[in-house]
Amino acid sequence: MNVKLTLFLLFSIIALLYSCKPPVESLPYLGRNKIVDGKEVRHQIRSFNFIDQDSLAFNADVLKDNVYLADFFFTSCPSICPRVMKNMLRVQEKYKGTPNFKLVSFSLDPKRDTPARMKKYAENIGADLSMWHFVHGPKDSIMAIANEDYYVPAFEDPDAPGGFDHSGKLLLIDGNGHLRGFAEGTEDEDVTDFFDTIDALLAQSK
Amino acid sequence: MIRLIYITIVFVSIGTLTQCDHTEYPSGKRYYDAYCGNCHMDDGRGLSKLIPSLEKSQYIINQQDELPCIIRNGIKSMVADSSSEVQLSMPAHPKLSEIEILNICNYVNNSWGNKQAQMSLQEIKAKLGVCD
Repeated sequence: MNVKLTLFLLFSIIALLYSCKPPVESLPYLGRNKIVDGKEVRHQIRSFNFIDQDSLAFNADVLKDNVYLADFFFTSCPSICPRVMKNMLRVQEKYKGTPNFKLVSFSLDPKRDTPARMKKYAENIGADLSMWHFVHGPKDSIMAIANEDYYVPAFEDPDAPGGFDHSGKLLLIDGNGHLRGFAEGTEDEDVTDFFDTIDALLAQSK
Repeated sequence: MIRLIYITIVFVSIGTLTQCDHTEYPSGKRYYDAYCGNCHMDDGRGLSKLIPSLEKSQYIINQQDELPCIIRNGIKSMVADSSSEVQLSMPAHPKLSEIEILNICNYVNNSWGNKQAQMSLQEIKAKLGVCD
């Protein structure tokens, strides 16, 4: 009797644990929706015209139909960036060769982070530039998309290490420019859990 | 019997936990975590070619005299990039006191496979007195 009861409890717990995992369909659309002409429109990353580490155009065309993971950094960042980059590298290793999946790192410090400097940085950390873009654009535009579109607090602060305050969030964007998930890029375990979210979005996007 | 198993589990857990966090230089570890760990990482392995690994480091063996100055003043251009026009540097930490630098040196010198003689405060003061 006791054995039966134990087995019953064990299976109940396993069933309960599995039921906690959200189904693929429930991946939310994040961000504040807008009202345009009386209709509710989903929050979307605005279109932009920047360049990447090879001075090639980086815009909506490059990202079209791609799921991508974005972060904000600068090459001389002495605080959180190396930890975030270490986790971006983990994502790169896991999703290497995955079609229509990209990594995008926007520099908050375009004055110092020229495309050449970012390319050197990318090579030094071991970034695979076939899937990973390092983005250079006008500072005001980058700050605006960080704060308003990706919801990453970022601003210049002479007292902050390296001159900028920003969060190390990783943002997951779907093929239509909608924000679908985020993780703390400085937290290894959070990023490990985030792999499930990325998998779910990739499965949905097929 | 079950109580004995529980007690064993508790002791093994405590033993494992303290083992993981063990260092002879807890103060050094605290300052390292606060000032160095973001780049060189908790395991001392750094980040690819960008941030040099401190694990079993020949550089640390070679730079014993300069180590306190490097921690205080940073480095303008990393060794790996000396030939490149792009300068990638290690930031300075001018606010660190001599004792804090001493603690970091001793922790780094004796972690991740490094084994160096313990430095004294007098040595640190002398080395800091002749920085470039």
